[in-house]
Amino acid sequence: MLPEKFTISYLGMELEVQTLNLNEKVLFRIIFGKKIPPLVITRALHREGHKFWTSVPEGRQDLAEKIGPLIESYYRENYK
Amino acid sequence: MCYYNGQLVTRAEYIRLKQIEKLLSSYDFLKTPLQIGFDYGKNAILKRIEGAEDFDIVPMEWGFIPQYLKTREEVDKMRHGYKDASGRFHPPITTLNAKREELLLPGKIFRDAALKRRCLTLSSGFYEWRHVYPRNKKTGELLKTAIKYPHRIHLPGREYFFMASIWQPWTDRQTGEYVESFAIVTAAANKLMEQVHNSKKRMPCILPEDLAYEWLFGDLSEQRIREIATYQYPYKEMKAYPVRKDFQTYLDPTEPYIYEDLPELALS
Repeated sequence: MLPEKFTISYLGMELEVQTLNLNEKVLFRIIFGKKIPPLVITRALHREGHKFWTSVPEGRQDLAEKIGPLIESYYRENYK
Repeated sequence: MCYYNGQLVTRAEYIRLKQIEKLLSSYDFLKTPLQIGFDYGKNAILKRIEGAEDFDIVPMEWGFIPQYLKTREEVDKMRHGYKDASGRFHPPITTLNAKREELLLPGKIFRDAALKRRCLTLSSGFYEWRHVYPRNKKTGELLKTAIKYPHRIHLPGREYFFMASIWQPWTDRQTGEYVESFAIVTAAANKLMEQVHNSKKRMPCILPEDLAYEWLFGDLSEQRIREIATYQYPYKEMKAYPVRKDFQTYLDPTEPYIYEDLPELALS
């Protein structure tokens, strides 16, 4: 099964990531601590066919694009 | 043309992301980890708003909890099996699915829900294991142990589809915990699913939109409930393809995977 929780390193911080699953769409909820609200991101399908990381709800796209690849790296290192 | 976070997406993808937004904002259940499949996790269910031709998308626990169970401990015992005081093992009873043939049987746990609490499970695809028996390389005889190949089944061109389901309110008499649980209605497999889910030859009752609407909102006779629950989605409008054996721990569980030793499905 997908790991319920794991950690990634971002700007020197260890961030907890929770895995959520909804109708086979995998979401990740990243916990930043008390001052910054958690971020939920998922991979979405661009109209031209490629996938991209996006925040849900909208508005934190920059952060989604930075954190998403770190999660991909985690998967590459631990599940391939 | 739709944009999400400034990225150009299809209408279907836009709707999906908006649905996720709604669920995230409305329900605490998504704030705890969920898993795919047979672990009695929560799923998104279309539940009728009482007295209206409208519905909510609500989280429900997959695995119908019968009213006769009094506590969560009893539920866990039913689902996972247990040993009684004399050491006798009582095997698990699975209520993830409600067999179409048993839906309305008098005295059975599903009857009341089938009559009064029908709902729809929202799905974009599901998984079944195809059992293939290899041959002994020397004798050519079929071996007794099957190799199991997971397949993803979906409806090409349809981002989401509906599975006929029934739901049940339940309260733990010890703790007061209130739970809504559900079971997916299953029926005999169609030509595609006979080959994919070839160990049991069953499939979920997938409904086209008009029947899904009727299942959710209709004031249905027992005869009509049976008819709808018997509906067999056309196999030509479904597609199955193999996925990795570890798809449940894979970042994209829907990604196709090629097994060189896996025979093609015979659908012509």
